[in-house]
Amino acid sequence: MKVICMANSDYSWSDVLAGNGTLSINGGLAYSSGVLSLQTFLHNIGYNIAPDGQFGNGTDTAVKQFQNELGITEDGIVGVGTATRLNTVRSSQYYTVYGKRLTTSQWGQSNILVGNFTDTNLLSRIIFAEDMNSLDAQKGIAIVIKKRKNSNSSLYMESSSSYPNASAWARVIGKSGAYSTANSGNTNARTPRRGLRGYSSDGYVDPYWKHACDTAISLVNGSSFSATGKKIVGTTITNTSVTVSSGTSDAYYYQCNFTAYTSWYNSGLIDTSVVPIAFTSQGGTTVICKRI
Amino acid sequence: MQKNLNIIMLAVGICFVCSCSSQKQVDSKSKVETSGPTSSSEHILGNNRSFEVVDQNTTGTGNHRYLFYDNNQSIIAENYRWRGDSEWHTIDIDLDGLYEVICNDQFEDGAERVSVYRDRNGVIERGYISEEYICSLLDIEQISLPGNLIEKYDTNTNTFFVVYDDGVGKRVEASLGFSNINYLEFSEFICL
Repeated sequence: MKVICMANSDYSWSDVLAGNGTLSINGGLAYSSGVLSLQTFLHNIGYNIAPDGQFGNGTDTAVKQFQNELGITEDGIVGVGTATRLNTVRSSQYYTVYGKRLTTSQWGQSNILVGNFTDTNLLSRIIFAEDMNSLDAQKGIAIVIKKRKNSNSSLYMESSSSYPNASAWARVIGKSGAYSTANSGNTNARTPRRGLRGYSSDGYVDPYWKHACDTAISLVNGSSFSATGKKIVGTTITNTSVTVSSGTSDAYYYQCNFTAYTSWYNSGLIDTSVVPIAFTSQGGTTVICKRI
Repeated sequence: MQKNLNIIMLAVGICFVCSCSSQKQVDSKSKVETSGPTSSSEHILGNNRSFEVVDQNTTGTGNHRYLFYDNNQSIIAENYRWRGDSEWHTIDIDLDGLYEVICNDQFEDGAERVSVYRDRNGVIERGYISEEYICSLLDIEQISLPGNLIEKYDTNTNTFFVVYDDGVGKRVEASLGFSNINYLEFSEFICL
């Protein structure tokens, strides 16, 4: 007689990966080596969970959050689909090092300006959250950040005397009123969905998240990169390509969305000493303004 | 801290906004901006707290950060405006007889957000509208460009007005009540 086992305790992680069983809150609270592996892997990529081998409400929540992060059905059941994804990303630096989930009390300017983040972790979150749809825009955003840091100007960054524990990068990002994504209420920087548009071929890493992380790494280690957008004349996006580089010493930049740029331009708030450049994607247009 | 800057007086006019659906009468105070001396108004955020609003920016180049000092000289709220005057309202949103402070914030990246300040047992808390709630309400996967989401407190309807443009032809709007705000203790940070 064939016996069908439903309990979590019956399955190891290998069993689940092989499609021979599932783990869920309906599988009982009894200790399971499979659940312990699940919890450990979730913990290591930034989920707030204490591995104990028991599938309780906390594990159920974490599994659903993970499924949401990867854009798959949020049913709390760890079958071969969820397990395969977790087994892949658990060793990816884009999950284990960058973008770990933060609570609202762990994010925001007050945390940024006391130096609670490594530079690459901080920058990857901001670059991603400021534009999640355009690789060139992400590079443009990063270039603006670099120019601001290099300016060492109180217009673009908080002072080291006020925030001695914050790096120069953090003082740019934490500048009051500059980046809305540094706000504690911002979800995409606090809990980036690192695998939303990722497929098995790219290790279930969202390509824009991966690019944001790689761009942040380039910023911090000084590697030069460039971004190509379209020149804006007045409030019209032209067909003229403009390339900006992180390696040049030209002057400061602003960054905003096109709607705000247009509004400010029409109100006379964008002065004539800047060259505005548009980076347009399926999700909208990000504008950076280069001072001349 | 220089406080001889733009000082904004509180609460000169009072208007009443009636919500026909809930039949609750909400008392709201409007603001008047002035360069005059500090003014005060009782029962703002409780504890007989009054406040004055000071523009921290001394450069005249924008990037305004308006700080709200109470009568103990503590910072109890802040309002970001990349350009222009401060935008805030004092509204009793939970009908407990005390006014909360609602700020319409404008960031340099173009995003416009609402922040709400309240007093809970002597602790100032700051709240933001839940982005997860906005996404579910507007039926969008995520806010992929922060500047495409605009939040504002609307004095006419006494609601939060949100609009999102996904950049590919979909524009959605909604008016929200006050129940989906995530509050945290307000951690002031001061630029010296």
